[in-house]
Parts: sequence; structure tokens; C-alpha cells
Amino acid sequence: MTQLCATQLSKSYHNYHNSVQAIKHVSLSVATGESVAIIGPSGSGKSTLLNLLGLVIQPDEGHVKLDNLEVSNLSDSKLCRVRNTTFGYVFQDFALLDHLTVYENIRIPLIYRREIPRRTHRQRIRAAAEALGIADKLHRHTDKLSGGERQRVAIARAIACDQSILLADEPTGSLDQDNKDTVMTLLMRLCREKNKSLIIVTHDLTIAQQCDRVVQLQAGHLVAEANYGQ
Amino acid sequence: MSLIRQVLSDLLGELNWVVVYGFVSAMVMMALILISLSYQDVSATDKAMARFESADITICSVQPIPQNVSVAQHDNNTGNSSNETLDQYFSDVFVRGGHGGTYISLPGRLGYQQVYILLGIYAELTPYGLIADTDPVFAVSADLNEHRSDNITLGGDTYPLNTAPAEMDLYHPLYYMGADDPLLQQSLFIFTYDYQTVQRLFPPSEYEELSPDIMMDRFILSGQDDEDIIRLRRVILEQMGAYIGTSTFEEQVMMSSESGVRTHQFYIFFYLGSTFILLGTMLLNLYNILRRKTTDYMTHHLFGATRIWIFGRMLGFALIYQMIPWMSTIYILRINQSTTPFMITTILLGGLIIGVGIVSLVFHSIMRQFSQGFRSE
Ligand SMILES: Nc1ncnc2c1ncn2[C@@H]1O[C@H](COP(=O)(O)OP(=O)(O)OP(=O)(O)O)[C@@H](O)[C@H]1O
Ligand SMILES: [Mg+2]
Repeated sequence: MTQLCATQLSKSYHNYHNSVQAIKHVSLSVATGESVAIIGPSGSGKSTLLNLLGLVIQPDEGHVKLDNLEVSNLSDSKLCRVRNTTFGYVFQDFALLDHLTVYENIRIPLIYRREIPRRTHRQRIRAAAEALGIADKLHRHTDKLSGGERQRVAIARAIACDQSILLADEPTGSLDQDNKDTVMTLLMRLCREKNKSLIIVTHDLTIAQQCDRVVQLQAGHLVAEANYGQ
Repeated sequence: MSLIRQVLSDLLGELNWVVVYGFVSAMVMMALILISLSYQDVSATDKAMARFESADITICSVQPIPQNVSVAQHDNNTGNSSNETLDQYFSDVFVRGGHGGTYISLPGRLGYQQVYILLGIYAELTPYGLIADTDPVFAVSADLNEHRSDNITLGGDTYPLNTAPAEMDLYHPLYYMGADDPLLQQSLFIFTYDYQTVQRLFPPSEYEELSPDIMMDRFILSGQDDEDIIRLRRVILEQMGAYIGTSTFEEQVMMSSESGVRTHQFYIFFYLGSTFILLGTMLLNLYNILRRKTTDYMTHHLFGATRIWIFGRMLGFALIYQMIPWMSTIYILRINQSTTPFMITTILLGGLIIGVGIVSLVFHSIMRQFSQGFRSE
């Protein structure tokens, strides 16, 4: 079943001097539990597309549907709510807040999820941390962790309150081969076991090929799709 | 709840700044108040001195006859003996248009703590004094304004009773009483040109304290010539066996007043400048702190914090961060009794407006950045 459906998305950035059209008429849909890799050269608009799909930025044209509901033009509070309940974001540089502990970092999305009772936070955070093998580091500050551990904290935060779609922008970019493998195994396992959808931006073909589907961007256009299916 | 907790933890993270600004602003305010209090004093003295200066005053003080001046020599200098009495002399110099002036205080008389008689030219040398042709003029000190009666009866006559202004001070180069001097409270001031009036109001038989010594204690001459001084020296030598030392007023003005006022003005300028610089750096620092937290705010926004939430968190932080310096300023002003409700409102409103302004500025720039795609660092 189609979970996320983007049609004819366009996006340009305007500067003082020039404007760049980063995404041109891109359509893409992702089914529940599906993993999709976005590949393409640097500057081809991969991150922009991911931000559009994750409702971080608004498209100039086109729209995004989530479970068949139009979500492109929601008010800020509804948009925040959708981001909070649906998306788990993992960025290349992890976007961890280093003045906080692992525990506090993982807790951020939980703060804004009213319907999850506060008393269950501890247990949820611990469960997420255990799934990623960092349960023993919950009370350390994130700047005292290794790159691989930081990566896993970021992923734990992205699944801590049952977000159904994981968006990852070059999540393995700064990792060595061993850590790359661990992270990818983990992400794929989350996809299969918890039926989460995964959209991952990468220029590493070996990583892309582990996904169900690979789409390629070229200068803002979607130029190719390959299905690896399982 | 979580919002308050976030604001508090933001503040805790910047506690050092909060403490530094709170402390420094309190210090600067304190210094400013002390300086301006002492400035008020100095500038009051300055005004009194200006009055003395423009009246061309010479201060005459009774002294023992100096060693190096023999009585004979002194006699020569002061001219021939004339056997003028002090009463005659005083009657002559303490008149409308006369050159002499003095003030006398009578403690505990007429039911006042002090009664001051400002006689001769002295009646013109205070912030209050003779009005048109009325002579004498009676006035109570400002603190007695509410309790005073309309008239006062003295020496068989009834006179209207006025109130001296609150800035009423009493100047003499040897002894200055500022307006808030306890010795000038609960007091009655009597202004008159005329020695005869004093004699009539305070008969010597009843007021023994009005001795020549007292009359000469604060004696001054105004616009006098050498003749005046020779005459004064002679009568004092003959009647009191003493010498009169004179000093003109200009020298004293040059020395103390001007420089005092200028130093104070400099200090006030300095501390006012410091206050503005402090305020400036505090606001700049606030801006930088908020800027530094951009990733923090954006990450929270990404994971579900609404714009209103973020704005509330920033504003809460900014206001409390500023509140301590503002509050300590108000507190210092308060304990020095120099606040009005208007002033407090202005300060608080100013703090609020500046806080909201800076927060809005940073907030909009963060949101613009966010709308271009999430980026940490
Ligand atoms: N905030 C922005 N302002 C202006 N131009 C931008 C902005 N973000 C991206 N761009 C431009 O849009 C185009 C696409 O950028 P994007 O970051 O999506 O590329 P990318 O495929 O993720 O590249 P990379 O692989 O290097 O991360 C680029 O030309 C980039 O310069
Ligand atoms: Mg990118």
C-alpha cells in the first residue's frame, strides 16, 4: 500500500544573485515497509528531495500525500505534528545536540508527542537504545561518543516514538566499512521487522543495492529507477 | 511544563552570563546613584557659590592679632580711633543697601529646633529671601509646611509666615549646610536687611546669645572698598581686641567648586556610558547566545516543536536572561528611593520591547534557514 506519494514536485532556491532549480517535476511514491535509495551526483538535488518528502521544506509546485491525505499545505502546528508522528530523520552529521546526553537526545521527539505518557518515556528510550546496542551509554554526552555510536543515537532518536518512515541523508557518509555495514543491516532490519519505510540518500552503490528500489537524480530530474525487490 | 523546563535549562546553561550581567549592572547602577547624589550636593554648593561670587563677597573672620603686626602698626593701618561702638557699626552696615551680611542661628528658640536670622546682604544669598519691599520675611523649613500657621507674632507685631523651598541650603565657605542637613529641618528662617529689626524682634535683654561674637561669626562684606575694611578692622580692634582676616571669594571658587562639578559631570558621563555599553554588550550577547542555539531550535522544530513553541522558548529565555539586570537596576534604584512607577514601567517595557525585538530577529532568521532545508552545525 502506498504510504508516501509525491507528485510533480519542483523546488528552487533563490539567492541575491541567482536562483537554482534544485528539483524539477519529480514524482515518487513509497509503499509501507519499502526501502528506497536516492542516488545521484553531488548537487543533483538529493537532499532537497528528501527534505521535501519529509515535509521540512515546502515545494514550489506539486504535492505530497501521506496515507492518501494531502499534507503539502498544512498549518505549522499540523505540519509539526505530522513530522513528529511519521518521520524519523537521520542526517549525515547526525544532528545531535552535544550539550545533552544520549538519553535526552533520543527523548526529543517524545517531548512533543502528547499521547505517549511521560512515565513510559524511560522505557521507550531504553528499548530504542537497546535495539541499537547503546543502552549502556544513555547518560553520556553525545560528544564523548565515537562516530558509529553517534550514528546509532541518531537512529534511535528516529525510531523512539514509532515513526513509520525513516529518512536518512547519507547516514553512512562518515563511517568506516564495518560501521557502514552495521548501520545498513540495522536499518534494513528495522524495515523488515517493524514494517517501517526507509528513504535513504547515498552515493554508495553497494548501500543503494541493499534497498528494494533505487532512484537516480540528475540535475533535479528523476532519470532512472531500478527495482531490486526481494 | 516541558516549555518551562526547556527555558530553565537554557538559562542554566548560560548561568555565568546571567550572573555576570546581573552583578555588573547592579554595580554600575550603584556607582551612578552615589555619584549623582554627591553631584546634587556639589551642584547645590556650586549654585550657592555662584551667588556669592556675583555679589562680590569678601569673607571676614575674627582672628587673634597676628604676631608680626604690632598693635601700633595695626592702629596706624586702621586709621585714627573713633570710638565707634559695635552697635553703631552694625546699624550702619546692616541696612538696605549696606555692605555687611551675616547669619545667626538660635537653637531651640520660638519652639523651633533652630531659628536662623539672615541679616543684611545674607538675606539675598540663599535660595529664598526678601520679597519685594517686605522686610522682614518669615519662612519655616519645607518639612514644616503642613503644620505651619499663617502668621507669626514676634516683638509685638504679627507677620505672615511662608515656607522656604525644599532646596533651601545655607552656605558659608567654612561651613556648608545642604538642603537635607538635619540642622536645616524644623527651622524658622528670618530674612531682614535691618539690624534694628533684629534688635526689635530679639531684644538683647531676652536674647543674650546675640552677642557680637555671634554676629561676627559668619560676617561677610559685599562690594566693599578699602575704606570699609579699614573701618571694620578698627571697630573690631577697639571693641573686641581682635584682628579681621579677609579673603576674597574668587580664589575659593576657582579651587573647589568648578573642578568638583566638572569631575562629577565626568564621572556621571562615564558611568552613563558604561551603562549603555553594558546594555549593548548584554543585548549583543543575547543575540549571540540565541544564534548559537540555532541547531538546537531547528532540531526540536524538525522533531515536532511548533514555531510558537520555539518562539516561546526563545522569548522566555531572553526575558529572564535580561530580567535579572533590569531587576537589579530597579532594585538599586528602589533602595535609593529614586524610582517612580513611571520609571519602573518604562524600564520593564523597554526590556520587553528590546527582548521581543531581538528574539523576533533571530527567530525569523532561524525559520528562514529551516525553510531552506535542515542543516545542523
Ligand atoms: N539553501 C540553499 N540555498 C541555495 N541553494 C541551495 C540550497 N540548498 C541547496 N541548494 C542548491 O540546490 C542544488 C541541490 O542541492 P542538494 O543539497 O539537494 O544536492 P545534493 O544532491 O544533496 O548534493 P550532495 O550530494 O553534495 O549533498 C545545489 O545546486 C545546491 O547548490
Ligand atoms: Mg546532500
